Amino acid sequence: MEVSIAQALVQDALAGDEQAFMQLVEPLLPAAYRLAVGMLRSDSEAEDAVQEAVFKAWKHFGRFRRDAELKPWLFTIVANECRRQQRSGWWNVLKGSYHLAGQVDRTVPVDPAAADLRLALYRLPHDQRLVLVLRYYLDLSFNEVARTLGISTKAAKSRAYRALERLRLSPEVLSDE
Amino acid sequence: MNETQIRERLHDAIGEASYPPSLTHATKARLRQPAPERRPRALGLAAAFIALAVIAALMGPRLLGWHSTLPAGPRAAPQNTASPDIFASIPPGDFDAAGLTTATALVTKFNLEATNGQGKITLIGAYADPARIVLFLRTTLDTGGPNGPLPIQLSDDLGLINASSSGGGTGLTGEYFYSLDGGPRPGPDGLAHLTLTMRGMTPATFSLSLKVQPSVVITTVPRQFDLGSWKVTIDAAEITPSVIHIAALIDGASVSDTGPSTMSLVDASGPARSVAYSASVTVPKQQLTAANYKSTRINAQWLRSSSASTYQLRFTGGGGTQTVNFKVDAPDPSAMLPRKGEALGPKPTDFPEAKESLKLEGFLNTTITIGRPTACGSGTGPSGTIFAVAMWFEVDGTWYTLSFYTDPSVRQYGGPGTYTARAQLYAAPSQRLYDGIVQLTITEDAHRQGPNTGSVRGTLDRIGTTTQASNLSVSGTWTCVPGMALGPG
Repeated sequence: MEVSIAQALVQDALAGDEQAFMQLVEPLLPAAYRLAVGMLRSDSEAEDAVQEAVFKAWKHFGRFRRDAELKPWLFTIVANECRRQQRSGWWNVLKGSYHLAGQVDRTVPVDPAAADLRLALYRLPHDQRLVLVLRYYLDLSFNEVARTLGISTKAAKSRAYRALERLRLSPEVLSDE
Repeated sequence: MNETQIRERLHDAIGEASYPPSLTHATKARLRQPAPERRPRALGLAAAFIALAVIAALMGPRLLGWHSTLPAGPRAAPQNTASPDIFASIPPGDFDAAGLTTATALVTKFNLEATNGQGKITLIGAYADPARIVLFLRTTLDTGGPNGPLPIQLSDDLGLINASSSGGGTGLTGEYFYSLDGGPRPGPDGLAHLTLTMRGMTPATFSLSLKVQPSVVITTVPRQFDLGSWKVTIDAAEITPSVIHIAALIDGASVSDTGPSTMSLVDASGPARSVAYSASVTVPKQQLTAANYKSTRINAQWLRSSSASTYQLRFTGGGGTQTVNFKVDAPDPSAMLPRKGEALGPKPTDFPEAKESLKLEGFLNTTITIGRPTACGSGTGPSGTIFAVAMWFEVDGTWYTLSFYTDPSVRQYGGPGTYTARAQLYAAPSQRLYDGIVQLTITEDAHRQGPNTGSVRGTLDRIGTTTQASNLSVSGTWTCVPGMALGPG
C-alpha cells in the first residue's frame, strides 16, 4: 500500500518523532498565528497562545487519528488556548519572547468605525468570535469552519449569522465557499 | 452586506498581522522544554497588588456596585470534621492527583452547587496553606475535553489571588482539582475568606472560610546570596503539610535565562516531584524595559515525602551554583487519614511471577522482565466484553502496577487481535501516575487453560503535576496465567 509523505510523517510523529511533527505543523503556523491574533488582543499573547497550543498538540498527538485532518485539529487546540488565555486575565508569564517598551504590536485601527467593530468583536462570546475569525479573517470555507468547531456546516453558518447580526453586519445569504 | 464586504470590515477591524519569523524557532524550542503542565498566568503578586490597589482606589464604588449584581452564593464555614468518610465523597485518587496524599485530614469537605443550563459545578473539598490552595470540584459541564478548563477564579478579602494555577482530571469523569500556586491571606479570625467566582453559573459565587494550614520556615536557606552574576533574594522557604515551597526573586536573570534547573530539589532517591514551577517578570508586560526585564520571580513547589528526608536545594545559573541541605520531618501522621482496606489487600509478592518483556521509557526507563500479574483474561460486564492484563512490577525497590484493558466502547473483545486499550500506571497502592490509550494485541487467549500472551505499544500521559516526566511509553510483550483470583473483574 502506498503511503503519502503526510501519512508517513503522521506515522513518524505518532511514533514520537518530534521533527516529523514539526514538519507537519510548520506550514500551519502562520494561519494558527492569524487565528490567535484574531482571537486575542495583542500579538504577544497570540505568540504565547500558538507556542502553548503546539506544545499541547505535540503532547497529545497520540490521540490524533491517522485519518483525521491536522489543520482543524490544530486550530481547535489554538482556539482553546486562546480561550484559556482570555480567562487567565491580563497578565501572563513571559516565556522568552520579549516585547520591550518601544516595540509596537500590530497596528490597531484608527478609523473609528473599525475601532468600534474591533471592540464589539472582542465583546462577542468566544464561540461567536471564533466562527467569524475562522470564516472572515482566515478565509476558511464553512465546511472547514465546521470541522474546526466540531459542528455541522449548517450550525456553523447559523452561528456566524447570529454573530454578524450582533455586530450589526447583517449578512445576505452566506455562501458555502 | 455581502460576505466580501464583511470580510473587508473584519480585516480592517482586526488589522493585518505579519507572521513573526522568530515564532517558528520559539515554538520548536518550546517543544523541547520539559516544563510541567501549567496554566501560566502569573505576573507576580507585586504587580497584581499594585494593579488591584489602583483599580480599587479609582473604581471602588463602581466595583462594589458590580459585585452586588452577582447572585449571592452560599457561604460555607469550615467543617473541621475530616474523617475517613471523606473518601466517600472525595476519592483517594483525587488527593493523589492534587498532591495532597500527606494532608488528606486537612481537606475540608464542602457540598456547594452552582448550575447553568448546561450542567452544574459542585465544590466538594478545599485545602489551603501559605503556598497553595487546592479545590476539588465535580462537574457535569462539557469542558471541551477531559482536562478542559473550568470558568473559575479565586479571590480573598484582599482581592484576586494572582498566581499560576494548574488543574486537571483526577481520573474520574467530571472530577477535577484546581490548584492555585499561591496561598490565601487569612483574616483577623485566622481563616481565609475565599470567594470562588464561576462565570455563567448560578449562583455566580461560593463564599467559603478555610483554615490556612501552618508552614515551617526552612531556616538554613540564606535570605540573600550571589549566584554567579545573579543576586538571589529568597521570598519564601517553607515546608507546608503538602509541599516544600521556595519562592525567589532573581536579579540579573530574565525569564528565559531561568528554567527548572535554576532551582531544583533532590533527596536521596533523586529529584523531588515538582508540583508547581513558574517564572515570571515582576512588572506587567507593558511596563517591561531593558532594565527591569532582567528580574525574575520564581515560585517552585515540590511534593513532600511521606517519610522524613534530607533534601538538597540547588540553585544554578549566572555562572554559579549554590546548594543548601536541610531536613524535613515526616508529615504529621494525624494529617493523613487511613484509607479503608489499605493495609488489608494482598501484597505484590502474593501473586505468582510471570515472564515479561516490556520496555518502559520516560518516567521509568527500564525493561520489565518479571511481573506479578493481578488480572489476566477476558470477562463480561455491563459495558460489554473486555480483555484485561494488569501486573505488579518492581523498580529500584518501589512497586508499581501497570494495567491494560480493552475499551469496549471502541470494540468489544471477541478473541485474539489488536484492540484499543486503556493503560494506567499506579504507584502502590493507589496513586495513579500515568494514563493513556495503547494498542493491545492479544496473541493467545487460552481461556484459563494456559498462559495468555500478547504485546502492547503506546504512550501514557502524566496525571496532574505530581510527577516529572510528561509521558511514559510502553512497548513489548507480556504473558500472564489466569487463575482464580486473576479474572479481569
